[in-house]
Amino acid sequence: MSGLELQNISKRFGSVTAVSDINLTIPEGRFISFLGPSGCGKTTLLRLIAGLETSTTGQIVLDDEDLTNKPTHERNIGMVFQSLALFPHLSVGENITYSQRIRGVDKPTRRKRADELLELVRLPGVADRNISQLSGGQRQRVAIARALALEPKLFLLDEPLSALDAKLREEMQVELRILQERLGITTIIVTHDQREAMTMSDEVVVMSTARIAQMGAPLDIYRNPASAFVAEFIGTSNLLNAQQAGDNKVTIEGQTFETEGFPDSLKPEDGIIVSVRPEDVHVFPESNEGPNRMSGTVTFLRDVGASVETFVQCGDVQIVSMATPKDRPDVSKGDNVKVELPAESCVVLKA
Amino acid sequence: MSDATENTTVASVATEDDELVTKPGILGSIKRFPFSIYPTLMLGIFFFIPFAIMIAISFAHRTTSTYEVGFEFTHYARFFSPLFTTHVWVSVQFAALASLFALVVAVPFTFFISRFRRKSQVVSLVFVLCVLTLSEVIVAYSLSVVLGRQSGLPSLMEAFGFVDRAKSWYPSYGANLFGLSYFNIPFAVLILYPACTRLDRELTEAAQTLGASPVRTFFTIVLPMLEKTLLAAFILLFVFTMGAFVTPIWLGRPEDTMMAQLIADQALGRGNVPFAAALAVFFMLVTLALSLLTVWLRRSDKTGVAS
Repeated sequence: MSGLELQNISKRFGSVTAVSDINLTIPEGRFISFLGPSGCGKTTLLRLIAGLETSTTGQIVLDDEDLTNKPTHERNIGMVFQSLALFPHLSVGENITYSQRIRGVDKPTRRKRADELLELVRLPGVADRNISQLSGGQRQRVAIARALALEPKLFLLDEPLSALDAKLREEMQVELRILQERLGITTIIVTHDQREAMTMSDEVVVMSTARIAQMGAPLDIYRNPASAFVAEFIGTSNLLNAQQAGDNKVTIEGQTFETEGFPDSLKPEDGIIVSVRPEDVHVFPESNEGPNRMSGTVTFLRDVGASVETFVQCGDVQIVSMATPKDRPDVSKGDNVKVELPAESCVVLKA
Repeated sequence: MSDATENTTVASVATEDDELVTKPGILGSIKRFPFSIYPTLMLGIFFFIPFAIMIAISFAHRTTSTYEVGFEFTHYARFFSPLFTTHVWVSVQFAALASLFALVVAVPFTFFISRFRRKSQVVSLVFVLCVLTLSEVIVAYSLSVVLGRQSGLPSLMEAFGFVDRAKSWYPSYGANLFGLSYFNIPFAVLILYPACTRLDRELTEAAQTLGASPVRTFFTIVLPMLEKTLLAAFILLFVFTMGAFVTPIWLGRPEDTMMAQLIADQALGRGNVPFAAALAVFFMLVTLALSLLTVWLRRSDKTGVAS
């Protein structure tokens, strides 16, 4: 098949296992994120694909060709590094066409290609400048152009946007995704920013301690996290300790709630956690009765203009509700309220 | 005399460097009076006073047995004599080649050490430092054993039948050059090491993802990025080798006589102290100029490339 296949990939550094028995298939032309906290092995996995590390076990196959024992410089990949790794002794144009120079392409052709690529990353006319004369965002674009110069089969990015300020980062995310769609190149980005992963990717691979915790389309993972770790890491979530009450019902704080259903693998004796996204939680005045509701007291209101978060203490648990200003609940700090956890939003997870 | 010259040469490199690092200069040092008096005193006693005496003597009048106070340019005029020019040329040749060869060996070596794990780096550097603790005398003597007819490589060649009758490989131009280069290698490693460790690993990795083999990466990325460090290292080694004394005596032929030997010979052998002093002054000035050049190179290195 065409695309990238990782088969039983493991990497150990001495006694530390950085990547443990990963199996992954990435179809051609997809944009994939490796998402996880620092130390989860996502960067090591990317470096294994690039050939900058050699795997302890397993195989890496790209378009039916076994790359496992090929050195990096024969793999035809483009990579953007966290530090960007632009060569300070070369001009912008020379940086971008370094790969062509290595392959003996003549100077006029290289020059033409540099201008073309700078056009592509929307940074025309800087080919003769020095790297030190560019801003952070411009360097970013040069690094991307350099990685794409040879039209590689695989485009790898190792937290490339982490050095940019928040606003520029969000702009670059959108731009990078549009560029990738235009070129149709198989792309893998490593990030610890779930928003970044969700903005850009077709599929997100959530990693935790050297293993894949869950993979799937961003919204599927968001709506149906497979574990409390994923629910916590992708967006924010109310994670509530609960007991099984049978018939897709659970008990939270001594009260029974309907849920969307139990996972198939759940056994009757398993402990459970219920995950509810803050934007799915509704807050009503106390007198407002209805199903799947519990009483509590408002302890804090965070109103940042674009959204309002209501913190409600219900017995021993704290539930956070998030709403847009126009759906802002008519409550204030200290009020007794009713909190609704809609059945279709209550995701039951194994504890 | 020659030993003293060599020491002051090294000292001048160090002091020039220090003075330029503490920016505010003389005015600043006066403000920090109690702390600045010590280095000033040391500089005065061990550097400026001897240097002044040397300059004074270099203009003195030579009598048959000794010299007397005077002011003449006779000794400086002799710089244009073949005696002087040939030996300067010989010294420059040896210094340049020995520095070059030392760098050719030391650059890849140091770069690969800097890519090792921390622990292996320390072990390798300790070995290099071990060679540094050996004096020029021991190194030159050991090499004379290795290159000698009785116990060294020539007799080994004879035993294996490569030559019929072993001949000693020293004294010779090659033996002297080899000795000087060998002695320079650990210094070269120490000068290059900090710059090599500062080279970001991601730069060489990036070159490899762009299709450059490790060897091409070394020539297209590592060497160009070390350019200024290499030049500075070359100058320092050059200055250092110009003062070589023991190695050329032991391993070189009479025609391989270098500057320091010439000065010693004039002062001690021929009793021509003013000419020896004039030679030493010339030597010092050249050294000073080259040292200043390395300081300037290092400074432009800091401002030149943003991280």
